[in-house]
Amino acid sequence: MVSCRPMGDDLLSYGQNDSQVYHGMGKSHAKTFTALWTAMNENYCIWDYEYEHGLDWDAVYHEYLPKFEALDDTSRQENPTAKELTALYSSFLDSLHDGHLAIQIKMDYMSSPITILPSRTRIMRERGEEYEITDKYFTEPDIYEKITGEYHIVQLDEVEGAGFARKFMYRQLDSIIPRCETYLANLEPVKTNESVAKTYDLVSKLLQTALLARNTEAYKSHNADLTLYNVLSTQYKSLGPLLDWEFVSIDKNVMDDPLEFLTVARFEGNILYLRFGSFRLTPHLEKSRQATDTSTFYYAYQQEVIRVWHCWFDAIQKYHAEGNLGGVIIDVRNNGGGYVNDFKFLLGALLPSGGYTAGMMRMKNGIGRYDFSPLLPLVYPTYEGDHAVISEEPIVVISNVQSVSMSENTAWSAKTLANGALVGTRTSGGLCMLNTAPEEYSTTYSGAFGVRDQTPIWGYVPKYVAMYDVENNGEYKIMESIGIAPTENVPFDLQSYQSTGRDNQLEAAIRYINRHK
Amino acid sequence: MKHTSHFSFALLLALFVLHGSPASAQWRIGVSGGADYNWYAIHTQYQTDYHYEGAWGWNAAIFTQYDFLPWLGLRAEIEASEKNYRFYRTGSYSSTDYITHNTYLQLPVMTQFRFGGTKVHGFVNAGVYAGCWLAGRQKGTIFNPLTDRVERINAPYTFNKQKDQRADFGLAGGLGIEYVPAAHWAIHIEGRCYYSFISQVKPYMEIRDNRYNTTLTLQAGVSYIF
Repeated sequence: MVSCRPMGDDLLSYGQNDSQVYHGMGKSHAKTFTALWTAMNENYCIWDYEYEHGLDWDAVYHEYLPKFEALDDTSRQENPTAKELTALYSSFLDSLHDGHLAIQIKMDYMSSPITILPSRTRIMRERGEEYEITDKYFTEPDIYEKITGEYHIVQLDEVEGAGFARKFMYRQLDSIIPRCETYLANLEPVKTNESVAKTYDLVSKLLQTALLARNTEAYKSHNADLTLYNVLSTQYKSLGPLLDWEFVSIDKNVMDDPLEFLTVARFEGNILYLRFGSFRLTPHLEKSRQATDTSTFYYAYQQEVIRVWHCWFDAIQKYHAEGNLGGVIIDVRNNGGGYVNDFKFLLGALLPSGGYTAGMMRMKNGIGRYDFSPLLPLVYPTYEGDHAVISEEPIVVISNVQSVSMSENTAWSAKTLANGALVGTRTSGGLCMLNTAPEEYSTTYSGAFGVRDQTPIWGYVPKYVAMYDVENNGEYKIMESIGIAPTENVPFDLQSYQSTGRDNQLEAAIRYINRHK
Repeated sequence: MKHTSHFSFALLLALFVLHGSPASAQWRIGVSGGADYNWYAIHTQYQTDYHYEGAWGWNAAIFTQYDFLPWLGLRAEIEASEKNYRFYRTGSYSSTDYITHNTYLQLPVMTQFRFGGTKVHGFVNAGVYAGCWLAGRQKGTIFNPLTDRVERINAPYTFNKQKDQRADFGLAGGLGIEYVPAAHWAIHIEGRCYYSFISQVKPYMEIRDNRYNTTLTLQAGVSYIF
């Protein structure tokens, strides 16, 4: 009787770096491909969407397995190059629509893994020109400062992790450099003396390094100046008593804070503007996660983030209470997303407490390709503290092709508000959400699998599918690779920006507010 | 040799049945209904805190039966039956706990063997059934780790024609007691099992992922004997 009911095939979990599961895999192309195919089959959350777009994942298996088996053929003279292998994997992975998807393959014979980014490939193919422009002109947090013409900034507050650290570093270097110079000047007459020569040489090197960190403009790239300062403060720590100085290293958590920056501005007419590098405010603004050691460098930085955010939030509350709030702008251009919880400190800080239902969602829920949870309301958290709801004054989100993930979900949410609008260009098309920590796989059983740079396969794969009623007909749709279309489509005017420094998308947002307030 | 003996036995049985006295051959029709408990057989793989348990449902049927002999009849039913199961998780996601309600329309065809007295007798039903899935609904709670909320659900299940198997087929067998209080009336209670051979998940992907229902019903019925 048992044979009348054959059960499921036994499957392995590729979620974590399990040595038994991954043992020897990186030696065989066929095994690596099969593991990737299976892991994707189990973890990828929009197979039904791919089927609608004509993809047969089983057909991929049957077509490609022989190709990868051929690569294992011992009669082959050489293994495929990274470029060849990337091309082979891309030829079937690039058809997938998820906007976050990244796949890494790490074969034993290769010095570094290859990475396939189907969404990037798609964006570059479909909107490459816009992507390159935004990549070039939106990397600086202070673009809003270039706004001219009829709109003026009344007030400006900003914090930036590396910038905050750099200011501290400059203070440190501006103090240590003259100390070194004075010390060396004093020893100059006796520097050949054997007893002082070594110290003189050491302080000279310290001075040279300090000057390099202080004055080399190119070192600001990738925070090389900060890294150099940290090397200096560790390497020459022993000179501290000699120079009457205490070397303090910069906390890497500040240098590398993924929030990147937080910028608040108030334009004429009390229009409150907010821009931020990523949705990473939660570690700073969520009380339970805030640093408590007041003596640390990180604490000081965090207090600055909190202060800048309050400049925005408190001003909105103040002008709203006074009845002269012009409107609110949340700028998510070139914002790659981050924590869902951040919603409560951004758009959610303007909405009623208790959460905002933006649409529906489902989870990948089981090992079957089509194992999904029932549809659930997609409720974003909103601000729980005392606050007035901004339901009359216009709220505008500005987006572009590099607005991804939570930026897009924020863009959609703004669009659905009675007093909301989306200005700019269509978002990237990566609205699904994921958790990436391998240790969470033992409870999520889906989504991201493998460990980056460690396991032969690694997949940056969402688990949660956001679905929105885009046509307002009660049908919730997946928007992967489509993105959220703006209420007012305003392409970035590069020529105007280059010749006048004006940001026409920001100006369009301000104009929208002025028309609707 | 073995095949020949099986064939001979079947032939003898058929002749015996068909040769039954017209006096004992009679039709009956009836209705029955009751509760059922369905088990869902699934390979949960490495999902160690995924648990599938049986769940209660209901069933209702109309049936007809032709009795060839006082101890032998053939019964056919049209039955609506729920085949429900519970899914829940333990550990940090333990607030996920919901029941999937599946309603099937099925047609069991069974041979009935009776034994015992005239007024009160026992019977055994044995046969097969074919059915089809009609509708589903999921009710309960789900923990959503994305929003850190426990959501209450009560929504129809959306049939996925690539994955979900509408057809059902398997063995049906039951054991019951019948009481005949009057010349044309009989009432019965029966415990019955439906053992499905068809996976509720189609072979829609390269990886086999079969899932089966086994349903135990407890039903009572009344029949009119012509």
